[in-house]
Amino acid sequence: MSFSIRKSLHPGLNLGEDHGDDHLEAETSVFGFWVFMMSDLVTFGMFFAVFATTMPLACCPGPKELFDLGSVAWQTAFLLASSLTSGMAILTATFPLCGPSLGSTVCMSPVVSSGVS
Amino acid sequence: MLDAIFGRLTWDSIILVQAVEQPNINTFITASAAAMMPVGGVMIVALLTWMKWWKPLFEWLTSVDHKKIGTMYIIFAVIMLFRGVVEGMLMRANQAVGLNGGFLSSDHFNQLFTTHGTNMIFFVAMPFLFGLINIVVPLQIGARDVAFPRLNQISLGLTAAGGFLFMISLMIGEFSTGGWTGYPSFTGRLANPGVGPDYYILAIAISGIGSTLTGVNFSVTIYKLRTAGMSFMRMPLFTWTALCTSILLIFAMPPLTACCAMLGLDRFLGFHFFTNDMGGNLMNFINLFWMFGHPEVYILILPAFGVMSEIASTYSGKRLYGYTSIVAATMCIAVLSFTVWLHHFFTMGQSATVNAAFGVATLLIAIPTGVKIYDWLATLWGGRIRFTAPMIYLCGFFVLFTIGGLSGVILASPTLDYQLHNSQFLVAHFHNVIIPGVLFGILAGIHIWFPKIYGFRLMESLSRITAFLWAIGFILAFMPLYQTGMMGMTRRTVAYQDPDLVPWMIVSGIGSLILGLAFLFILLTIFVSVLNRKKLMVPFGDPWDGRSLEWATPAPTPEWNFAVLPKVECRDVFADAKEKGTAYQPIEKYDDIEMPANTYYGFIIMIMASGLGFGLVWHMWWLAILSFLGAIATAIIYAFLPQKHYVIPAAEVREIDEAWRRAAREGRGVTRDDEGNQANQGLARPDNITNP
Repeated sequence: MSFSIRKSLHPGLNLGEDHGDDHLEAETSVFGFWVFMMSDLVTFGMFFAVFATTMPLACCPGPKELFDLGSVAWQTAFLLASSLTSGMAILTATFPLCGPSLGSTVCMSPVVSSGVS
Repeated sequence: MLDAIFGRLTWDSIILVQAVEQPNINTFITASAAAMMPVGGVMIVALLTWMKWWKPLFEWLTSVDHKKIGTMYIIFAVIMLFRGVVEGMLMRANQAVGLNGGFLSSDHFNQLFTTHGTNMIFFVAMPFLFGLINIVVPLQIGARDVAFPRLNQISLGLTAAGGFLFMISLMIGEFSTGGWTGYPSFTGRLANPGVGPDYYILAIAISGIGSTLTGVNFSVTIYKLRTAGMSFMRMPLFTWTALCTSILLIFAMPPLTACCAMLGLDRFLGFHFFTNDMGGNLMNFINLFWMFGHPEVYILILPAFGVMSEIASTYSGKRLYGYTSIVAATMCIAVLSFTVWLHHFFTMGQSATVNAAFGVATLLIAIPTGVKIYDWLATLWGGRIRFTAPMIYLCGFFVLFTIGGLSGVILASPTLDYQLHNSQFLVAHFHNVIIPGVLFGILAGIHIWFPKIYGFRLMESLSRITAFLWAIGFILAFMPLYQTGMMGMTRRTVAYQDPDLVPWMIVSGIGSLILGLAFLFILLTIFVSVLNRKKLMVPFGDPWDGRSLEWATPAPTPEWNFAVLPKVECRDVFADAKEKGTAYQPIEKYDDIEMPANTYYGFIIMIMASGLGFGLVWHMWWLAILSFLGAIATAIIYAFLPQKHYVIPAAEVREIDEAWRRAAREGRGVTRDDEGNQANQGLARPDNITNP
């Protein structure tokens, strides 16, 4: 576990050594990406809000009647697991010297990422 | 077969054909408006060919330079402002003779107030402000461009695509009749199966995505691209307000995207989010819309506040009074703007406690706004004030905007709102904050920064007349509406039966004529200034004795903005340098400058987004699918293409920059007495006036 957190932090993970200007350029893109994700998050938050307020009023068949919720749950779990393992793979590929444990450690601890941002 | 190609588009959808088939005053008006577009298009093509401007035009359309993109936003906004003002005048004219029915049919009148509102908010005020922010912010923070220049071009392209859909509805089909808020279930499939609401949804959704991206771009620009030493508390106030607006855009545009998407699903695929039956709830739309709509008000007003701050300090030759308190007030407003959306529908049927909470939250906003007004007044006190066009706008703002703000405080009280909601009082209130607030800020901003980008000032005399015309026209057109609102006249009224309203409506109609004249004066000012540009040149780049970094560049500003990125050691850095005599000092070392090259990315996205929107509106599925896939393919291809740059050699930069610095050091400059004269070449000499 040899990743250092630099003084000038950006949202997301601050891993590895500083690469000067290249790092700075990437920092802008990464920061922009996170800002865009925040905006996206609000969009989906709105859909969930409408879902939450609509459910009690609905007169008609709800999700339980329309979907096989067990199957939906499994599909969602697989989807999230795939995102998680992609993240692990990318981190491990980017920082091979840290060993495969890095990816899992970092991805499993959202505290790290939220703490940095 | 034809249905597959043209969808619902038929010969009768074309407005000009309707006018021939059923000639009356309504079709005559719409047909003249529709005819302006092909006629205008042909004239523009002829002009471009005649002047051999096609190549320069494409250099502009493919440019990623923030100054050119800003200019294109503003040109777009001026064209749309023309449409908006004409629509406003038509509605006022109809109401002036509207006793027992005016000359417009109710359907036509409904389209007019819908397009007027949608247009003025989404295609006039926002592009105007994005234009100003684009032009000014990178210069004020000492950057060469925005963080994502290509994304900036895409935002412009999406705004233009929304504008295209909005304008084409004038020629083909119709626009929504549901007001700029587009409440279902009136805009739903059952009540309104036509193309109008589809045009509305797609125009604002597409331009809304562009606005979200603008917000992302400018927040990142301001967070990451500030020059060395430009800490947050040294940023000029306009940049601060641009930052707050960007943050609001990031968080306030998504609800709009979400509610447009859901209304679209209702209309296109028969969902029941907002229908009356089948478990739909139209109040969800209204809540979502105003979760966007109320912050939107501050998205518009905050940059205007920024311009007012710049005017107060620059045109009184003093540093801004209470900088920290204005920054804090701006942030307060930005946060509070998310907590008040419910005051747009106090009559929804929620409990009195909920109404009281939102009412009090609304009242709270008056406090930071008041702080700002007092700070600006205190800035003027004892200053070296010049009563030039921006100062006229600022004084008009002080008086008129405060009245508008106070009428907002009246409406914030739920008890009073029950009496006044949906009346002309409300119409008077929001025009009273948007015209003296947002529009005055925009017009003053254009007057201030125009010489920075084009190298010559606007005619001072004409600008002053324009400013007075806007103020007088506004007072005559909208103050009577407070009265008629309290007399019980509802908004969006095509006809009324109470003869007591007639005198007020006539005064209001006269006011709208003056506003039309004021718009013509904007064009006249620019036209006459271009003709006299030789006399109005300000090559040194500092015509108003400016205080922030953008004035420390020549005018017109070169494409690289700063030959060497400046270092900042205090607030009002350029004013400080001029006081110490360290402005325009020679620079030892110049480096090569790398700038992003032109690209067709934004232009292609604009065409694809327009095609997608038009295809969806008319159910031409092939066009929609092709455009959508085209846009995705474009994005993927450009993502893999490396962003091209071109290099400006240090020697070339040195030659231009050194000549300018030397001339500025040797030049004598003018004092503020000669600010409006031909002698003002953009080099400021200090006045012998001591500040208190």
